[in-house]
Amino acid sequence: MRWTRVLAVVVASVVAITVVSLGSVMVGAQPKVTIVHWQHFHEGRATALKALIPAFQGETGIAVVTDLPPYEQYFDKLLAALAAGTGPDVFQVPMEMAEQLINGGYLAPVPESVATTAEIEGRYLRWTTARFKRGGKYYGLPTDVQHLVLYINNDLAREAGLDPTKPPKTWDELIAQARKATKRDAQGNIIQAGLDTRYKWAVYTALLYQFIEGPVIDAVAKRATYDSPQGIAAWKVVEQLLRGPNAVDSPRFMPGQRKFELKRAVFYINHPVARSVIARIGPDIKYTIATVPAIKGKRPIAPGHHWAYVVNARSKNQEAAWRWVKYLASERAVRTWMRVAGDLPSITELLPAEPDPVVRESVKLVRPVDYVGVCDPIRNDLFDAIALTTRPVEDLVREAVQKENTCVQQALR
Amino acid sequence: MRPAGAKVTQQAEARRGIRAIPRRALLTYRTRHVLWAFAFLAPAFVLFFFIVVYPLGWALALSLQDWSFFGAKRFIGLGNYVRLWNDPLFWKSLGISFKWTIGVVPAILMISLPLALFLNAGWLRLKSLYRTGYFVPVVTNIVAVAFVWRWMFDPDFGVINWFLGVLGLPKPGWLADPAWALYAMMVVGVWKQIGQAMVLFLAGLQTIPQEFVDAAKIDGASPWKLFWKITLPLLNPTLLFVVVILVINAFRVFTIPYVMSAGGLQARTPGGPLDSTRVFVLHIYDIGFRQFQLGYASANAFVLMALIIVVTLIQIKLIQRPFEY
Repeated sequence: MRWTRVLAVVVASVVAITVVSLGSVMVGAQPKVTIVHWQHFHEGRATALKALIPAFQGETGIAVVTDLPPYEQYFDKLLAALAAGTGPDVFQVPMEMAEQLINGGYLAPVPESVATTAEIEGRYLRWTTARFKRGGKYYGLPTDVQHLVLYINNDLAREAGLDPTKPPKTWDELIAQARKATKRDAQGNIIQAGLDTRYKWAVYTALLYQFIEGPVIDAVAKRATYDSPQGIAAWKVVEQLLRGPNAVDSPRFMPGQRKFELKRAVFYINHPVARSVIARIGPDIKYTIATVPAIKGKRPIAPGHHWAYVVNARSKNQEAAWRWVKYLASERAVRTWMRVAGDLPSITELLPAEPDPVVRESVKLVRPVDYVGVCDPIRNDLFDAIALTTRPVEDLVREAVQKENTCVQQALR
Repeated sequence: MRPAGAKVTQQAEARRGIRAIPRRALLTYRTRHVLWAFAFLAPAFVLFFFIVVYPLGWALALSLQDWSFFGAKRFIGLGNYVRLWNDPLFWKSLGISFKWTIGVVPAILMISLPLALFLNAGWLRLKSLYRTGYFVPVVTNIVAVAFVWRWMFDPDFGVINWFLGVLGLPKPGWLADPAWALYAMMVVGVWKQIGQAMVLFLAGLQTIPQEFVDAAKIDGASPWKLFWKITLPLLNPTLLFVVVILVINAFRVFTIPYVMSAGGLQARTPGGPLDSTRVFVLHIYDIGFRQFQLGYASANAFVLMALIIVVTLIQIKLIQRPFEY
């Protein structure tokens, strides 16, 4: 008798829930769409992203859930998830991974209903979309657009007898000024770096794309070219910066720490986005931004790099995901990226809105990098090897190029 | 034909209101016993199958394929195993793992065993306090600890170089120097595991019957002789267990070299500088999750598994001493 009553209550509950659910469907209530968004953590960009989400959610009713793992773990997590078919709807990838991801079928193209090809080509700086175009379709919209600039700590430069209003124009001048600004203790250990080389990528990229006139990575021949005489000359500058008693920085001086932001370095090559980090860590630092040094007698070149927001080909909410990406690359959002994170604009018309004249003018000097695949560690290790060993630079470069060729061939096969 | 006595008994039971239990000949008691045992074990078996056997089989199949994650899988037979034989980084990372094992395991044994003997001494007061103190590193989060050690080993501002400076000794570059980085990390590896080995030795020491110790003392055995002739032989099973566990841990070490070489905002390659701390698991991780060559990484992982099995069997053969008084 007792069980009969329990059964009756259960059946009645199930019927009631079913009726209510069906009713809500019939009156037109739609399930809420939620987009899962991943990008690596960056202080300035995380703040900007947080500011953009509520406005998008309010306008569209599409919920956005974010995950911002540290840069070091970002690709581990992303690629494992993509391989397992559990990747996010929207994620951020660097330009050098475009070919691998598009060829692998991991990315969904921008639907015409969200943005037409003409619209994309008319709106964004051409170099920030070019690598994500395949077969007349675009597979990503630009974000985190950056070139390289030179930062100078005004106070430390003056202390060293330098004039920050007259930044070094050539690499020779930079080396001379950085040497003058480097301080050592009685044992000869560096206690103030002339040039902060923590961001190795920025230093060697600035050099390679100025010294090598053709491609640094030849995608057609699937090989690296920095073992050419021009490339060797570029790495020889790294040798001048890091080897011997006149080195302007050392891997053993404050390893892994932000020397410039902590007022322990006078010069620093980084992207404009570093402004947001300096503002957070060293808000009282007075600094000057200058164009990266050039080769004597040649026009300076600012290597350009960008990331892109892409949509997972397996996403069940591709349309909504692309609406979110379009919003992130919209004029309003780009203004937020510029203001909060210190990014460069990807939209051509917004270039005049960049407040710093040097950053703005340097955009005209951009030469986009042509790195392919995730081969940066090879060049980073080469940089370390030049600093930490006494082996001839030519030998080290030759070995690195062999490794990079394998890496590039792997990426482009 | 039923015996007359049985009928009487049945009638007597019926009078007392007890019903005869029908006998089921389908399953014997033993069979039912075994079935119940399997029923209770089933959840564990199912779990083991899905989280160990199935992934292992999948990884083995993967090790026979060329899969760079971005493209389709291609069966290449033993191609990955041939490749690792010719890969200098494979040999280098294997060498670093051996170096780690040879350095870390004996150091832990040499520190933790005397420590356990000391903490087992009858005259010692505040034993629990000391035992807890030495065990704290074991329960401390390894990532957090590795970061702290990284700062302690900082060449410019680290407390270790500060002490060396006070003593007038040269200050190595530690984690920034390929010649010193591995040794710095090994210090952390030893520090982290001393407590675990100590507790195991303590447990082993407390199983040694006091009668043997007393008898040896009455016979005039010196403390040294007592240790070599009584304590160590009777501690052999524990010693074997500790050594095997430590060696397996040593071959599987990952977090300490990873965090100390590349964690945080260092913008450095894990296993650096210049691959000087590229232990074997870090090598597998780098191939699998940085270079996305999952087939090749799986082949390396199977080599590691085989290596651990072989080394463990060798240790059992060399160390195990069946001992009875």
